[in-house]
Amino acid sequence: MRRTSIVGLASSVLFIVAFVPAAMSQNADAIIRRAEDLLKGKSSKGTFIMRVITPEYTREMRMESWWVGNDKALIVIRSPKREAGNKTLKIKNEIWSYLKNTETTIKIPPSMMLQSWNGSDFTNDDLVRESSLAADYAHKIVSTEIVEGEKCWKIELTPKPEAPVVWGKLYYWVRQADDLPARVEYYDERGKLMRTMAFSAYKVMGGRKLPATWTMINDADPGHKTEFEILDVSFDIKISDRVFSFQELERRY
Amino acid sequence: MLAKLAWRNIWRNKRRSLIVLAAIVVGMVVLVFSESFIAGSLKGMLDNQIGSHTSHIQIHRKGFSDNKIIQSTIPNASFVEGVLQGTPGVLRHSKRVVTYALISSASNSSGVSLVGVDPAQEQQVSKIQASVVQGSYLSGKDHEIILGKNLAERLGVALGDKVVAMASMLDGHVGSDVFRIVGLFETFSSDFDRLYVFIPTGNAQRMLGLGDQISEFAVLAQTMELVPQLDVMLERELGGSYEVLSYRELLPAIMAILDVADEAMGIYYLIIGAATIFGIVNAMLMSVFERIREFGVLMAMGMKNGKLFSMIVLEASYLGVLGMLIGMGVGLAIYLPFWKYGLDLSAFSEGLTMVGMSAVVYPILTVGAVIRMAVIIPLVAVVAALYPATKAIRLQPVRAIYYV
Amino acid sequence: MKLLLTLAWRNIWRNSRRSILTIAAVAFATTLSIAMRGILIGTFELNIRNVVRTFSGYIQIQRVGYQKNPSLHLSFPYDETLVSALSSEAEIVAFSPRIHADGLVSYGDQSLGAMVIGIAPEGERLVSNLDDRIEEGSFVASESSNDVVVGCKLLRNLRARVGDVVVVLAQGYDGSLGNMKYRIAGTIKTGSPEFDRMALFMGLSSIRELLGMTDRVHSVAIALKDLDRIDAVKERLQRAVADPKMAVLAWDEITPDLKKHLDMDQARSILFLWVLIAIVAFGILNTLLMSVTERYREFGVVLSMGMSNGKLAALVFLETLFITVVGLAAGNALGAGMNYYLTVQPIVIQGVESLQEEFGFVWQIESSLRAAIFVDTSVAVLGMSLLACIYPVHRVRKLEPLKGLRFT
Repeated sequence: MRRTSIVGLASSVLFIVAFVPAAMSQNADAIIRRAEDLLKGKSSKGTFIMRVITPEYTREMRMESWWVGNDKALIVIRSPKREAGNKTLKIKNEIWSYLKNTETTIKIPPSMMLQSWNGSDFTNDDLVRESSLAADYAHKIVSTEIVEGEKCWKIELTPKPEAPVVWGKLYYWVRQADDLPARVEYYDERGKLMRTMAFSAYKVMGGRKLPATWTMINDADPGHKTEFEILDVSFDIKISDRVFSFQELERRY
Repeated sequence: MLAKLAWRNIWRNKRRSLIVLAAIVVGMVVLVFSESFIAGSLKGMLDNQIGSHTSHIQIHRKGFSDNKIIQSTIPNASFVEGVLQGTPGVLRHSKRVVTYALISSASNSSGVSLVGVDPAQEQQVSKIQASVVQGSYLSGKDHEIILGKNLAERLGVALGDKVVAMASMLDGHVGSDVFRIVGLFETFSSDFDRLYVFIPTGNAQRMLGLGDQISEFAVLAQTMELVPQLDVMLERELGGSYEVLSYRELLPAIMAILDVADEAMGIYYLIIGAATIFGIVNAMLMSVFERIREFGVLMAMGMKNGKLFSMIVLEASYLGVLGMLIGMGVGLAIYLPFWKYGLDLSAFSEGLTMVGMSAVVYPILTVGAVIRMAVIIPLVAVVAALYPATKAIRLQPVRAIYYV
Repeated sequence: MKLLLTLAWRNIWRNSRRSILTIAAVAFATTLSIAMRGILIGTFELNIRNVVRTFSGYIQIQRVGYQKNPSLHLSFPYDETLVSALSSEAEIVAFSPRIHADGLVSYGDQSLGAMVIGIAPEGERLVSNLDDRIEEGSFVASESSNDVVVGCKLLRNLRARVGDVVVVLAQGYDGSLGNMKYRIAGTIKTGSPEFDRMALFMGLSSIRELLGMTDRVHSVAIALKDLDRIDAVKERLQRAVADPKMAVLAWDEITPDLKKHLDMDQARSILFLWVLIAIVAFGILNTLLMSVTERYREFGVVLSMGMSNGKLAALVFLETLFITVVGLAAGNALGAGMNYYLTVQPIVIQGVESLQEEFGFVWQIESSLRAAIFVDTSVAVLGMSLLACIYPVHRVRKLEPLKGLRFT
């Protein structure tokens, strides 16, 4: 009797040790995927303000964007006047920039990939690389924490050995109540915090609940941050492919 | 008979002969030293510049050196290999993938020339391995990278950290890959250290979607002197779709600087040569003039002018050859240890900011140089004796005896 | 004493041939040393002048850290205070502000990376020789003209020609992508592959407009009257600027690789100078030794007539002194003549004239008329002579009259 129960115990321990972490990491994977999906939807169209804050100045730009999944995106600047009409087109991993002043479309070459996108704390590369969280990282729930009064899963993302990402580690907090992202922290390999993405002002927009304000804080360069404030957004609408074409890009608005 | 007399004459007045001999010996030693050091310096300078990476000759698709886009790959690598195997004068070669890329760390990024190499092949052709100051050279395993120490500082990374490389692929998309720093190097040129990074060829080809194509052949000739004709030969054999560039064409500005240094040293050699010749001439002149009284006696005793002249010239040539031989011996004795261990130039200039190896000069003595000096020095001694000798025989014996 | 001096002097000219040979040894030693040192210094200075005229200038003012890690925002104001501080510095011949940005230049369907450099053409002409290296077309007309000068390889790679209009893009000060159209006024050949493939020059006001920069710049390049003044001026400027965030850099901190070359050159040259000194010193020793020993018979006579050894030694010493002085005078004159000739008529190196056009470098053997050369050399040669006569004079002191008389 005792023997069988020991075997039973052993195998259940084995079961737990072997399968639960997998289940947990599958969970972590799923949690993050859900969080990202909730932010994006299959497609979206919206207007937002981007505020670039530095110790020297604050700059505000008003933009309109169209997204289809993680593959295609078009962002058009509406104000200020100096930049109104400038557009960014992303198709999969590549970006093109249309500049109204000179009516030029250029493909962003690798040499410019790490330059900031429109002066923000995001790089051109960030724009194309968003989609890679699932492919490039191993996910693991490490704990639950309270962020801004909300109970969240704290998920650790470790880059897979062959993933072309510079980060050493990411921490991703997802709110348990509504599965929305609360915060992401980016660390270098030595454990130094390089930047933080903070989400806030959760409300219902376009039929969904999501954070209206996204703030990217540049921890490596204190005093620098970029804020996105969503003014309006609609999800899962039909956006014709024509929107993401070069003709559309070069049409002067 | 005259010969014996001439020889005995030399040793009759040891002091005088020794002084002349000394001038010749010292002159010879100085020339051996200067000649070998100039040759060694030039080779050293060239080695510094081209030994790290440039190598003697590079082969690319035509147009590559003007516009280093990834699409400009070698049209037919096996054809080039065949030509290289079959061309005499080629010592070794290596294949490289070369493209402009962006290297980034978590804190910074920098534009570089990304070079994909086969470590085993590459080590035979370039000397980066010797410049690795931390860690080790590439082993050929995937995802290894070595970069310049100052580049690592700029990127805020150290040995063992990872960096991401991003570059245009063959089809125009942006390719990227992650690498771990296994070694840091420091060469003669801080510009080079900042701009070049090395990864395994296979890695580069996969990241850039090249298949098995490469961008560059680096070729080492058997000797430096062969390079110009090798350049021409290879150009002819490979034809119009390739460009064959020698190190001169690859580093024109550096070569210009070296050429000037070469000329400057030539001038120094001239000056030193002049000093040497003057030393010998002065000693010889004085010595012969001092003996005019003695010659007068000889002439009064009946020696014919012609014979006297010959005797003087013979004595001068004996001294010349003897001095040359002794000088050669001493010169070699000084040369050999330097040839083995080199001369550290930093002893001659404070503030010489050198990276170890490159401040040391290894002198080179060629057979040609030795022959040249062996002929010239005795010649100078003989020619120097001609003027006073002529003066001597012109004098009337009585005058000569009273010569002061 | 007076007797000794007169005697010494007369003695020299009694056997003019012997004396002339000795004088010649000293003169030659002096001349050659002066010539070599002159060339050493002259060529070294010429090299530096070449290097600084290429682009860096003798001194540059930048933000601390810019040299190691250039970034658009590491800039400083080019304002009245700075300009007046520079203008009031007497040693400064000219200064020229620059703005640097990483950008793209686009023509047709070609988009290539470019180093965009904003300059003030009038000042720039006096600091660097960029305008001499225009291959085709002309230099940037003015600070605000809408034209650019591109590297010759960049022009070729763009498949454009002088006169074409290109689009230049660069990330501006506020992060937005500045983009404007410019006409290619000319193309430049510097010989530096990096410059030729990527440099794009435009006027200072034009680049300010492109980047949205106000009165800020990244560096001010400065040309001085004289190379020697670099350290002094550097110090004065650092004090005048009085800002811990600002750095004043000398050319060798800006182009350390070229400094290494020149240092190596210098070290090698000094090595050869030592070799020269060795051989000329030996020449003087040899000649002096022979000239003294040849006169032993003469000395024997004088000694047997009653002159004391001490007096004789003194006499010989004085003769050596006179000979040295005459030799030095002749040597200095000749040396000065050679150095002067080389300064006004430098030896142009054969085979390298074409490179001169290519790189705008001046490749020639020059010399220098610095007083130090003559003073140092004369002192050294005097020292050599005095040292060389120690042994002969000592022998004279010990000479016995009869031994002297019978000397051969």
